[in-house]
Amino acid sequence: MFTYQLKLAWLALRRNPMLTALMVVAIGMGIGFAMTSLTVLYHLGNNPIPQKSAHLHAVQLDAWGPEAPWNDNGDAPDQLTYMDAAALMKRAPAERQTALYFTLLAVQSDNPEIAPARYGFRATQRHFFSMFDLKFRYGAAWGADADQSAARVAVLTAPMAEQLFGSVDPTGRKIRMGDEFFTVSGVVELFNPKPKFYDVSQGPLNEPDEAFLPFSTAIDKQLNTSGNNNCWKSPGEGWEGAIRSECIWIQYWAELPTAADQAKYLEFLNAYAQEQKLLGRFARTDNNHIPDVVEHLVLRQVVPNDSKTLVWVGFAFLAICLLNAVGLMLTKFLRRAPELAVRRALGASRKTLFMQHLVEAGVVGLAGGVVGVLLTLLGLQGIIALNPELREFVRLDISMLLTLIAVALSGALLAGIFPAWRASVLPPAQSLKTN
Amino acid sequence: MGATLRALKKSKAAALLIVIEVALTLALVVIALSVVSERMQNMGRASGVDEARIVSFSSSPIDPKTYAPEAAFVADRERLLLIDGIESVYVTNSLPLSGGGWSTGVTAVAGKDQDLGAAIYMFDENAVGTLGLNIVAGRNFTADEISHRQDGARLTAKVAIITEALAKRLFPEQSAVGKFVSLDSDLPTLDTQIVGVVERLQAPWTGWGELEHTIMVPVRPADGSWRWVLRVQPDALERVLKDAKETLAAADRTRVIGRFQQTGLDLRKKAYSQDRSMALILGTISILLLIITALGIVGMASFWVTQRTKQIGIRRALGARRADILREFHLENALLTGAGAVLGVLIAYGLNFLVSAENGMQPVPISFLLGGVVGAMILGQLAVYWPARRASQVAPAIATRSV
Repeated sequence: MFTYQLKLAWLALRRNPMLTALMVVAIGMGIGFAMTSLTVLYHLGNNPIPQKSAHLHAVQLDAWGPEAPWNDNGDAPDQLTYMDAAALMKRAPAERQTALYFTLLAVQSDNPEIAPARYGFRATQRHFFSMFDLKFRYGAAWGADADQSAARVAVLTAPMAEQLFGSVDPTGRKIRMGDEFFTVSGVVELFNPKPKFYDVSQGPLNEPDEAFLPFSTAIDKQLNTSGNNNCWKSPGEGWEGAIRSECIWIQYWAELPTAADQAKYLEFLNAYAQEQKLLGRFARTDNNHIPDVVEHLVLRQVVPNDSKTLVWVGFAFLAICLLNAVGLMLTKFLRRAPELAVRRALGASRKTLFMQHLVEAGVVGLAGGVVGVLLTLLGLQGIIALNPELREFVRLDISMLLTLIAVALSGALLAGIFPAWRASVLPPAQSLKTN
Repeated sequence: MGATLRALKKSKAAALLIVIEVALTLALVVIALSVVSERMQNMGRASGVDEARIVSFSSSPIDPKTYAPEAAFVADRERLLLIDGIESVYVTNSLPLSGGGWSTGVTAVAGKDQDLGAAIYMFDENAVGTLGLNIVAGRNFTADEISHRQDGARLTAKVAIITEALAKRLFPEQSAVGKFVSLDSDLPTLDTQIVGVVERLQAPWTGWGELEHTIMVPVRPADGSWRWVLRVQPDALERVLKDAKETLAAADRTRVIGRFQQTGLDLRKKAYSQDRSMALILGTISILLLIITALGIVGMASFWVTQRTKQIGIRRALGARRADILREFHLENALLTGAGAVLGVLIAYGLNFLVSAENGMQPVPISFLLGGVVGAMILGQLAVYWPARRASQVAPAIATRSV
């Protein structure tokens, strides 16, 4: 029966190729736009570290000035002052936690062929590598003593190591960074999460870090942040002024696996804020938070409003295309009133006719889905051409592909219900009589 | 009119579909186009800089402790000016459209009553000419006013140039030249004198609320870590950029020449890439939507023509002229799209109200709503023309046939 209905649907669709093409293309375009915008949103809203996202918590302390809150929503700032970061590193109750900031450092190879260049460094602590699951190609993270003693050590990413040393293991080699020699303690594979969740202050799709050095070393060498820095009060003079300032420029993460760990940590933050209030800091003592990765990305509005708007527009477009299909199917089905009357008179049930038209709608939907897949691929190429930074992670995976076909099919079936019902309840006698 | 309404009554569902489709299309297209126009306006804003003549790259010392930035600047500047095609150069911390820079709170009132956000650019006496700025009051910096900033030192300046927009906010109704301001509203001692006002120079962040508020100070960035800006003869940009970087890199290996470089036009392209893609996507969607809806109207009207062939034949036989039939279909379409357009305006208005409250979208201008109604009517009339013409050509003889 089903194959018979498929055959009928095929014949019916071939009878008005223009009308059929219009429906298929309209549904295809609707699907194409909706799914392109949804794919972009899906990847922007991607959880970059799903295996650990619930355990990793961004630390927010509200050390912002008394005159006005950090933003209009009253959120706590997303970065810390050096004073607070230093206090947390020393006293906060977490097995693994780390302060981080971004800085640029000139690196000079022994090889005169290689011009000196500035690389993007992440100043951090040794736990960074295990907290964020970085993969070592050679060597290992620096030890706890290096964090303590501000040792001149660094971990390079594989692309940087290859530029400087070629494809050999550079562990233990020395390289000039700034005015001193640093020892390479290891090489990690490029760590390029999208979004760059551990520091979105320079944009969620910012370039990956190229190398890592101990936080204490960066402070000892007085390396200024090359990232975002905000002050509610002017800093004092010189480096001393900078690290004693109320300026916020340090990101801070803690690994807190259990609810108990999280509660304890938050309790510590609130107590710390109270203690600082007694010293004349912290106008708002109860505005401290430890969002996990996913919550942090939502708070930081990593998904731009424009992308959300485009998803709405895409689905409104799809809705209009489907409405268009309803109208066209209605006209198409009702045009065959005489033929349907004959079939009814010969004994076809209403249900049979209803199903037949629904199958026809489904065929249109499937065809529209195929067109939609092609247009989505085209749309994603277009998005990448407009925003090259999306290149690496906007792609159509199997689950999106299946969603796409399912949306097209169910959309077309939904659009077909009303016309199919109208076609199935046509009174046969009238059509037979007038014809 | 009566006949038209009766005809519509016979196909209520189809008529309703057309009305809704027109309404939704109009609402979406009007909102989309108002966003497109907002974005295009953003993209059209002048930065104040002669972007087509500017190239920029960074340079920074490997070891700041042993580097002598003042001597290095003089030597590098001479090397650059020898390159054919370079007209003038200066070093700064940042440029308009670049997305990264400094801002401060500026005040012209001692005490804390005033605190205006403004971007700070480091300038020297050649910067105004290099960028092609237009001084509308006062004067440029002189060579003896320029100093080198010490790393970590508070940014101070005896003199400054500001933009006209900032001048108007600081000193409404007065000339700003000769007045004193503080560059740090935490320390409101008014110790910086305004010596000049430029027509326009935007802050580095295109999305910033105080985009037109800018202060220029006669200071070179600390440590010799800075951004070179070169004014170049037209059509020599790429060659000059390459020559300049190679010359500097070869001359002195105690500093690093930045891997990244930009022409003024690159900066603009990057700064507005999101606006541009949004405008392009929404514009494309609007056009496709109009085509689809128009084709939908064509399809539906064709169906009605087929359905009513016999009645049309009878009416023709009874004396209706071709023009009457044509008019009937056009009138029918005008009623449907008119109803759809009115509904669409309401939907657009409501949606806009909801969305603008949530994510700061600007309200759709009335002219767009009115334009949408007129546009929808015209589109409907055009779409129905072909089926209506077919209807008008139905021969009266059809009436005598049984099918």
